[in-house]
Amino acid sequence: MTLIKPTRRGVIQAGALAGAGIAMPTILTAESHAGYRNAPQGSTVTLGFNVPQSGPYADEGADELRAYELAVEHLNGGGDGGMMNTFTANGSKNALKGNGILGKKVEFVTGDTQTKSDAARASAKSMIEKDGAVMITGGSSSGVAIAVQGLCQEAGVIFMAGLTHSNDTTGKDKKANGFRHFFNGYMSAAALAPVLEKMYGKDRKAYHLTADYTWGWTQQESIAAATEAKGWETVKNVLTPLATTDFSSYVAPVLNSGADVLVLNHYGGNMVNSLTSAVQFGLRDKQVNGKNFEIVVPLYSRLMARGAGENVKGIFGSTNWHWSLQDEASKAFVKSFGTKYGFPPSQAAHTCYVQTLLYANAAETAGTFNPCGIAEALEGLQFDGMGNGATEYRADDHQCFKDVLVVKGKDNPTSEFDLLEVVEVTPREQVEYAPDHPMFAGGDLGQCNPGA
Amino acid sequence: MGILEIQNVNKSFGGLKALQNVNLNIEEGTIHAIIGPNGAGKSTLLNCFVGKLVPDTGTVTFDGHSLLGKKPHEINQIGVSRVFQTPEIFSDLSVFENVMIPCFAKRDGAFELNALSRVQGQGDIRDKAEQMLIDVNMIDKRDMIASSMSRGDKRRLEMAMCLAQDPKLLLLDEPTAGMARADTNNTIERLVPTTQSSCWPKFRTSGISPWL
Amino acid sequence: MLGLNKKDTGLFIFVICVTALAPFIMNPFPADSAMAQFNAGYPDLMQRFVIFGIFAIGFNILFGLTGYLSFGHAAFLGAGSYAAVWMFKLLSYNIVPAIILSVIVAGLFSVIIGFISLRRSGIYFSILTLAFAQMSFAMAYSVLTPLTNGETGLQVYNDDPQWLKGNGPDATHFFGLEMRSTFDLDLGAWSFSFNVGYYFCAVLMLVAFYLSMRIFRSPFGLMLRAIKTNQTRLNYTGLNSRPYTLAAFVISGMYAGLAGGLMASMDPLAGAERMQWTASGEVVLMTILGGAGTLLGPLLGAGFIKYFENIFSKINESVLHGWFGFLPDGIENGLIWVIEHFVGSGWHLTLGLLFMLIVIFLPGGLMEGATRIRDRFSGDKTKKDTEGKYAPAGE
Ligand SMILES: Nc1ncnc2c1ncn2[C@@H]1O[C@H](COP(=O)(O)OP(=O)(O)OP(=O)(O)O)[C@@H](O)[C@H]1O
Ligand SMILES: [Mg+2]
Repeated sequence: MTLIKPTRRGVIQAGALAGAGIAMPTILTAESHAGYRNAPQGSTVTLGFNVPQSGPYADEGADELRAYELAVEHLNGGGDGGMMNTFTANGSKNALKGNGILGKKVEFVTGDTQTKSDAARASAKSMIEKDGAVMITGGSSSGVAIAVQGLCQEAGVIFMAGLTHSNDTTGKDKKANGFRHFFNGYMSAAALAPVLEKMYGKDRKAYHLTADYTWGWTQQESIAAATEAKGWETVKNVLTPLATTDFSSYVAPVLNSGADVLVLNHYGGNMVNSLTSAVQFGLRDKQVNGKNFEIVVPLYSRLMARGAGENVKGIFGSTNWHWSLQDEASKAFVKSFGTKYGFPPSQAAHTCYVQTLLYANAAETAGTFNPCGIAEALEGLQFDGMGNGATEYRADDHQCFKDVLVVKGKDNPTSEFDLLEVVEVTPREQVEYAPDHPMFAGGDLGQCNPGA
Repeated sequence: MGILEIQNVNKSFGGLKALQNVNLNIEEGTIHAIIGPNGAGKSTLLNCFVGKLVPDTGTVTFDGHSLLGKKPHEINQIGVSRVFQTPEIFSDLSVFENVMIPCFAKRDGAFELNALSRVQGQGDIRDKAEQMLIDVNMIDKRDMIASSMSRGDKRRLEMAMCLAQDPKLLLLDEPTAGMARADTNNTIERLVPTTQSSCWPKFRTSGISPWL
Repeated sequence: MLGLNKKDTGLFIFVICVTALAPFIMNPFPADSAMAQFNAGYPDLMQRFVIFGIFAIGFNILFGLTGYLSFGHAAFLGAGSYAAVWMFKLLSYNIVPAIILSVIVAGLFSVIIGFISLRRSGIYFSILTLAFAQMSFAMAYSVLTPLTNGETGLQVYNDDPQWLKGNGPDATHFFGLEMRSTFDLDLGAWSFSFNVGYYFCAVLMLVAFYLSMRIFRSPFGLMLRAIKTNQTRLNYTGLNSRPYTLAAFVISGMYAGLAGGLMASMDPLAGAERMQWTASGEVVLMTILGGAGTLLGPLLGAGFIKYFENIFSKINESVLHGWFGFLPDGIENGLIWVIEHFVGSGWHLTLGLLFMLIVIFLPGGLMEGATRIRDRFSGDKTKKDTEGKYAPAGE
């Protein structure tokens, strides 16, 4: 038996044989010449949307899925086109035509990551092996993103990361087939530290509660380093298991530690619970070291803000994108998302929508779905009109560099969606770092893998 | 000096003195009956011989070994078998398997990791178990699941399991209780000749009180 | 043949045939038809069928025979996976050392856990194993991060030593034969995948199945069954039940380790969730669903649950719209609204309902169902036989 690297359907085709005889492989299809895994056959191309549909990040996952469906609609020429009308690549209009990608209608399959790396890989594998997905995207946890990115590297398909904020995704765990549009812990810290200094002064003692996994660790490390550079002192860092729902035992010791700032390196349901707990303990009404006690949530999302309700008022953090931005691109995206679903998109939805368009555009410019062609088109890409201003996909680590938003829980929200206000747009230069920065070192992109 | 010696055994449960200063000396090859009304302490005494209970004071010596503190399977391995008052059999297994297990215990000791040999291939064990079933007149029930038999048959099965080990000491706790009169007579007939014939262990104690 | 009686030989040949032909059996629908949704013949899922089959066969040696219900077997699966990935990181992608080490590590680990947990029986035993597994899970997540890479999962990096790799492949392989290699056969509208990884796992599964048959039919297996029905009697019959249960525990732990090693060999990543109690619970469900204490049951149960997990969970709203598009809008939406709760992420609900139905109406699991069907056709001459064999699962 000849053994060939996997492809979706028939590397060797036997043709229709009458009866149930043993088929001798006879005809080679064109696909084997395509030279990459899951080359789309016929008139369609399949994308795999792998998002958490259950578990602590299910809200984010649901919103990501909405964004993907919207992106597919736009790519296939439906709807009002959203950011396809504003998106410019390398200074000129994008290559998307509204007739699918490379003339093939876009279809998609979905999977549930359950926010577990095993389950996420299993569902990504089945999308690649069974459904012939040529690109996998999604995820709302860095652990999952890193696991799926590794899988896509091995399988030879492109991975367009969804919401993942750990430094490692494009740091020590970076992969040639993986790309991240979302910002990261380092960038949050670099954007946030000056604002915190301005608001709370140089002489502060910070107590960190940190989700115990790659994202929490790297964000905590980043925030601690950036605030210490401004003169703050890090009193203590306590790691909390991801599955924690009651944080009172973690919050109780904070006041006696002498700290006057609490940094919550938590996301999703974790953040909602820990913040609520901290507020219930009355931390925000206390005076410590002669100063008001403050709480900081470095990574914010609107979905979290809604979960935490009143408690987020006046609390600072950072976000990748916010629907209230007034540039043309953001307005166009919010409009088409709002028309379809009746409410504004979250930052998770935004990054997923953008990633899908970026992938499609890269395929159009490369003229192929071959992961190596796509990677080449994305590496070093300068684009704009996607809601974050001028952005670059850095070739060295496949990380997007763009401005970062520092936000604050709104004091007087006008609706259940209007919970955050943008306090500052930190320019890209201020959050940029060298590819071999110690917080990102140790990894290796490796070679792009076309899987065949 | 007897094979089983019990000296000054006392056992109480809370305030209840179940056994008070029991002394007993049993010779090899003899049959004894312990008789008493309900709650007299017959079962409790037997429990002290098989490691189920440890007497508060006193000594129990069998064949030169002290039985105090020994585990039930160790006591069995030195030759003491016990038929319980309420039948203790492997109710989910077949009658034949029930009898094979004590044969394995006799041949292989308390533990043997014979995970890849076949029960089918154990000729000696199968022959012995079969012979035992013929002896107790149960060979026709060989492939029945033990739990589906009558209470009297379960007792007979348990007795067969104990006899299959050729024990030096056989303890029978009301072996005929719950049996029909005919079965009772049968059982006694079966026990008595086996004890007298030389191929059977020389000695057993039986607490027989069928007519209480 | 091979020391099996006629009936077992027949069963074994049947299992061999089904495993060998699985790529055909699992893909009964043409690749482009609407029913292709229900095809399960892609490498990842077929590998899972046999790997979890091994896990369940091993679990059945403990639970099915002795009745000791362990809620911590996922810990051994996880330990096996971690061991295998470490072998990839340190030596090379050759799966042989990985699988050997994973079985050894899981075996040692189960000696320790088994030795302590088996001091108790019944519910206390279950709770002890559960506690140990949860402890291992929590430790894999936190203090053992240098060994397990925490939540991210242990994976192979380009800068790992891989001392023996040389010019060897960059993917898991068996002396050069890559696990991911797949031979695709297109027969008209049908498409079948023959994957090296699957056949590798399948061969080991057959070995595992054969060993479990031998154990079932051995004196050792008889003692294990005796423990389940009456441990007291066994002790008063001169047998020490502790080493028997420990041996069964360790054997099933090694099976779990083998499954874990194979999982890592098919996909070189080990995540801590593999050790979570839900994963332990899954193998319990597989065994009970298929029929605890039967030879074939665990395999059936594993296939059943993995099929649900991977196929039903992927039926989403748009797929349903595709199916029911022909209906008038109102009815279509209503129907989809109802069905939606049972497919996609609602597959747990469907599985739960099926599990309930099976446990209530077929306490001996799917195997009891199969036997009843067989009896219906062949008259009741084998009835007595079945009654004994399928005593209700679980004590
Ligand atoms: N484990 C125990 N805990 C407390 N009391 C017990 C225990 N075992 C026996 N007893 C009590 O000890 C006394 C003796 O019981 P035992 O079973 O030895 O009597 P017996 O002579 O065998 O009676 P029977 O003829 O009913 O079998 C009884 O009063 C019984 O309630
Ligand atoms: Mg009594």
